[in-house]
Amino acid sequence: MKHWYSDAHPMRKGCALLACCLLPAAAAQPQRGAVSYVRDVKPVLRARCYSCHGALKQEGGLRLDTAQSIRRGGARGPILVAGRADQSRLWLRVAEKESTRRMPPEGEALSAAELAHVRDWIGQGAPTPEREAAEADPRQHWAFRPVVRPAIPRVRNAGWVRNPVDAFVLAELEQRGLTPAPPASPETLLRRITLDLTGLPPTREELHAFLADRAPDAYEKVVDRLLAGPAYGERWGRHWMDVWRYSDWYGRRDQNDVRNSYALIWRWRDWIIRSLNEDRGYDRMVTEMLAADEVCPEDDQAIVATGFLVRNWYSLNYNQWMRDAVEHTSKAFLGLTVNCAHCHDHKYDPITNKDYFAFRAVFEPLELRRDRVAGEADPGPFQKYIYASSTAPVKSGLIRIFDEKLDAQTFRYHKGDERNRVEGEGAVSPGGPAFLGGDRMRVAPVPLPPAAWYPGLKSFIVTEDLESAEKAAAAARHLAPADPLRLAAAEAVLAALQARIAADRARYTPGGSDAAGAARSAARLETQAALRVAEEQAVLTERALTAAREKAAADPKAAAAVKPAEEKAKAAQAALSTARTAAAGDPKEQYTPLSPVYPKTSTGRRRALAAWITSPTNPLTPRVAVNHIWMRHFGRPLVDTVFDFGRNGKAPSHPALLDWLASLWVGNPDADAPRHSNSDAPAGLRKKEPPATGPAMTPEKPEARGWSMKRIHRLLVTSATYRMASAGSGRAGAARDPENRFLWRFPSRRLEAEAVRDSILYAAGNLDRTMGGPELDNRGDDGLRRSLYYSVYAEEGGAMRFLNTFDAPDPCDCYRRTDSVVPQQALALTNSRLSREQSAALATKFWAVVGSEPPARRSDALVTAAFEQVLTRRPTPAERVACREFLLRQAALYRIQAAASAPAADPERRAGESLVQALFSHHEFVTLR
Amino acid sequence: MKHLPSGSMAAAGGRRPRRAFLADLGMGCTGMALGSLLMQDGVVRADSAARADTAERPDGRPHHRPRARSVIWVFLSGGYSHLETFDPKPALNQHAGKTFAATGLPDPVKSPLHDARSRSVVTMKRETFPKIFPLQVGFRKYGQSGIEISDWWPHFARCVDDVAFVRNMWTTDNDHAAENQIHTGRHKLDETQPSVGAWVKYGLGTRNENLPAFAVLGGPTRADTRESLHAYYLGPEHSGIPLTLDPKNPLPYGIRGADVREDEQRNQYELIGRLNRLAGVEYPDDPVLQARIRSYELAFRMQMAVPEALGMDAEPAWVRQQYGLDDDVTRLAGHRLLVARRLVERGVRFVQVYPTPYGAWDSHRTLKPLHTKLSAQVDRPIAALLQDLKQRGLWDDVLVVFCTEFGRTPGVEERAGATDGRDHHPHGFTVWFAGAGIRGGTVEGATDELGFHASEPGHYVTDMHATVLDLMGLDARRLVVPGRKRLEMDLGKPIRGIYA
Repeated sequence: MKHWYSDAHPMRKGCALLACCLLPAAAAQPQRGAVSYVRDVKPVLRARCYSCHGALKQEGGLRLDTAQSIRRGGARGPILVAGRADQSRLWLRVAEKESTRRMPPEGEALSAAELAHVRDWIGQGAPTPEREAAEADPRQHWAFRPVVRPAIPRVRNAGWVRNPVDAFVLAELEQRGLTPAPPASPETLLRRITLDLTGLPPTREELHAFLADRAPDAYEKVVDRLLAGPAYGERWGRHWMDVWRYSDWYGRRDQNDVRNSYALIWRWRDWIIRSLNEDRGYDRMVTEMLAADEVCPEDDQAIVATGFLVRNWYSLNYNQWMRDAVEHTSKAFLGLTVNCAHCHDHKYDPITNKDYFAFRAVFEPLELRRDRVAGEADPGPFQKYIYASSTAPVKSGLIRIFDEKLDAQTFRYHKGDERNRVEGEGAVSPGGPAFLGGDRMRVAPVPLPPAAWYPGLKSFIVTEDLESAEKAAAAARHLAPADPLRLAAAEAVLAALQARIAADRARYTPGGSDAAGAARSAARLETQAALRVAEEQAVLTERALTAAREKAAADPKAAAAVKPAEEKAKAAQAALSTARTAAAGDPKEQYTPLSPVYPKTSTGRRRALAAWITSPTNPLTPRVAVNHIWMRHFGRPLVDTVFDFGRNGKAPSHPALLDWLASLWVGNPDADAPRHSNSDAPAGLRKKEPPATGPAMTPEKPEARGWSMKRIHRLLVTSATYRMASAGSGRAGAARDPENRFLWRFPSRRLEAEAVRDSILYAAGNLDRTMGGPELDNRGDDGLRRSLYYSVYAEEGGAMRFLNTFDAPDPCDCYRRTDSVVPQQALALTNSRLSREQSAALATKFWAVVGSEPPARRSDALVTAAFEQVLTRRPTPAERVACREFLLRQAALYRIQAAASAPAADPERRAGESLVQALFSHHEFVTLR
Repeated sequence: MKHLPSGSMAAAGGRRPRRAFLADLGMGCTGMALGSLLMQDGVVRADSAARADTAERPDGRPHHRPRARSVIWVFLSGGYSHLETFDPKPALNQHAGKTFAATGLPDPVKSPLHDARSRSVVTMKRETFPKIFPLQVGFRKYGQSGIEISDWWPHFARCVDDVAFVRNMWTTDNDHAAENQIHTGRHKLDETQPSVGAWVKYGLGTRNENLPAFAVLGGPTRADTRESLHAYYLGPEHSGIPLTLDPKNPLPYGIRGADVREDEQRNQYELIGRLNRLAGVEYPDDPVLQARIRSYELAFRMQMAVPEALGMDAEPAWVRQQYGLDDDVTRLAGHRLLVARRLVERGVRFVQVYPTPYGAWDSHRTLKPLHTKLSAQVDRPIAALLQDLKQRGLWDDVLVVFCTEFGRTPGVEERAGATDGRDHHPHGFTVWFAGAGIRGGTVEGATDELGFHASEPGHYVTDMHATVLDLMGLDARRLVVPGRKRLEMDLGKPIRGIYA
């Protein structure tokens, strides 16, 4: 009987069936007769019991991961009496009705079928399999073992191999009797690589040039051109912004109240783009994001990288800042879900609750800091949160972190709630997870150079402050009529500033003379300047008061202004009297510094963490990053769970390839030496081999070294694997590996939201290529800059509307994009102002060229131009016919309408616009083929 | 366990045979069913999706026989007073002006439940107000069930025999982030979870591919309440889609440009379809391309279907009047609730309605006039909705949930000179359910004599989610996404005491 709810499509049954097959057989169909320990009991124990009674932990000294260990029992004796379930604690505890005594302690009780299996197995005498392997030591999990470079496999079809990546891929294919798809057409390849490396499609000119280039390394030249261009950093910057959770400030954006992340964080975004374009090593990037203030404390260009940590800041509750820092540092760089050990020891990985707090301790001293930037107004010192107040975003300067609380201690708490501090336990020392050696991290305090803890010493601050004081003095001098009070004040301020600068110099320059005297002089001049200013203010406010009174006498409506004026005058008098007392008092050595003064050392905790994460021997860091890079070239990662390389994550599809890439990347620059496709077997690529040279070879640049992202990109995209066609119907793979897990063809995929939008603007010739700067307002479809420069934040309105339609990233969690196909995307591509305006703009451009042709050739030329510009290929004859018919039909329609509503002055041109828009809506336009 | 037709997935290497796939995608298949394919992340994203390896991906079919097929989730932002709506406490009048300690009753502030059910986002403890504030309104018994309802809800009161009240709700956020919490099940300081509507959409997909399966009316009420309709790790396509009430501009890109005619766009869509099919010759087995082609057909229809669903013209005058569209006081709430009914009637799975604006019910002072005014805005329309669902035969298909983020303190809030309001109260509040699968005239649970603590164990907000999912035929445990641990607290337990 068909129920009204069974309205799902039949094809979705496939997924349900699949699900069915993956479930333990025991759950799928209760068996009659004998129970099998391996088939029926073990899967239940594995799913529900191993995390506490297995290799990871042995609560109560009990392991349940082999029948032998079950028979052995725990610290409190045996748990199983063969043949007697009712006397076996194993059965009694899982069958217990009282939930507080029942096992497992979390989650639902075992199902009736599961219980029956356990009972019956015991009842049958608990038959025990021979040679049952115990659960492996969690420390031996593949991702936790050191990266060892595997040998490059030998393959039969060695001629296909362009570089070792192909050998690894082909070896897997050959093992499964699969063959790689033929190479993609030059047009497809050019479009693929250009979009992949820049997020923009190739132009018609680039297409023509590529098709005309007969050189064997024509493709490699394109790769190098693209990697050298600025768009690479923008494209891949956006990728890494996903992983590193880039977000502009939010909290209550509609009330101009900053609570999360921070204004000015766009400087971190610009640092990402710049660093990628300069090919800064990944290790260096990670280090700067975590600890630039400790490793290069005087480099403001690098210090903005700590935006990675600023982004997690949360004004209302610093515990939350710490929690996000722990969770996302470990997920992004290590592929570890350390956050799962927040409330208890990790259920899958050997990460203890204490490890969690040790990781947090690394960040415990943090606070935000606003620094001045040359040429910009002083943002003033960072404001800490005051209950129920709002904090508006600042517009100038830079935001960064620093260690404020040098003796900050971290204490464990229960249940994920900081109110439940564990009593009677000392502070936890900073470190990474102990099982990876993170507890041996060496933390040493970092003494900071003076300009790092006292930015007022920076020459631009001195210069700019002096300039502005001098300007004020000069202006006062030239006042007409002269204002002696103003002049005295301005000159006194200037003199005091000069004295403060001199005192700073005496104090902080090694071997400076008479620092104490200079300080006294600066302090004295400062009190005098304060007095002059107060004198001027007293007079000014008095004058204002007189004026207000006169006005009130003349006009009763102005009476309200008298009281504030009185108060101001009174305050100015009070300030004057204070200033007089100060000026008459003893000169002190304390003068106002030119900027806030911060601690002279940093704890070094984050530097130590960064060193540990980026150590060449850390097994996770390179694997995790290479996997991210791979995913963005090939659509699907080698390890599906990109932020979880732990035991609950997925196994790699190509483990040897992953390890080879990771090991190559970290060091050994000679191992990726490209070779000619016609040279000999990949055995020649073993790492001791000197680099080959040849036309396909890009000379190793001086900056080439470990962790270079451009090198890994170049290696991947010049592989034969990358150059395959994505079509593959009728091939063996279509039947045997329909999901293309083993890469028998290139995996096509939908473009990311930003690439769709940017490509429309770019193809129409209207993309504004200006790079960097403060985030732009994301409302409306009318902006012309690249998408990554518009504001993104984790609140309603936190993404451009157009981008949202194409699965814009969640700024809180987007280790991997989704790529849905929904009707709203069709609507966005046909109804948005963006698409309509840009289609019109591009059609107009074509029209300028083809408009003068005879009508017969005109539409043909238009169709060709539009296909080449929008889809990077020429139309097929059938497509030509379809388009020609469409143009005629649309033009005819407009001609009829012209009489009535006249939507277009020129029906033929308007038809052209409609055609261009249809091509922007083409599947190929939003797809990386 | 789901009973599925036997079929060999193993033969296809654990995956669905591609050939069957193709056959299904043929243009001859039924439109509605293919819609769920497109609107879901199901098969379309099979090759590249983030969750392609999920062991048990939802396939749009319920896990067990559903009792409801759509949900109207009515949320009143700001926290209505349980004490002046659906949970009368005569003891408050009796002890008015006394402190809790002076009543001789157990002091609720000293209960261990107090701190367990109140957690501040800001690192500070929230003040408590122990001086008892009397009830600001009278109560009367209604219907055969004799359930008491305050005098501010005269229309709704006549529906009590159709409604199940849950009076022992509790949450933990003592501030307005509780608005997110009641939808996601997580306190703001805990890791975020998808909202309840997103789970429904994720689990069941759509019943009408021309309309969003998870629609939102009147919200999110503010930028930082987005979490209430956010799908988070389920993917953005499962998030709630806010609709305006304006058929001319219902949703982003929902209608073609002003100067574009229908026949013009039809031609264009035809060309897009034709070109995509031509290009598809090379990729006959590409499900994404097939889905793309189909998405244009749906999009074209959606442009008509959404405005049609929002249009009021077809509604008879008496219906509009019933919902209060003829009165300025009730117009907005009535309009939104009437549109909600039109949406569920057309197969929308989950409609989240905000009849009143953000924080409207937040009565720190002047509770009496504020609640009087707001109750009047919602009372008539919500009663109309319940009657309308019945008269249209939708009663057994549609589940109505009526809720707020927390209750209000039995004590008077004496802060900054205030003397006539109540503060936020996560410890106990009342929500109600009606319609599909619900036994009307029911009261589940209670608060203590002072209306302070929900009786133990009470119902944490996720019990509402569990109830909704269960009545919709879903088992929350089987919707879990690998790598995204859900705690017992996230899953909740269905409130079976109110089931029919």
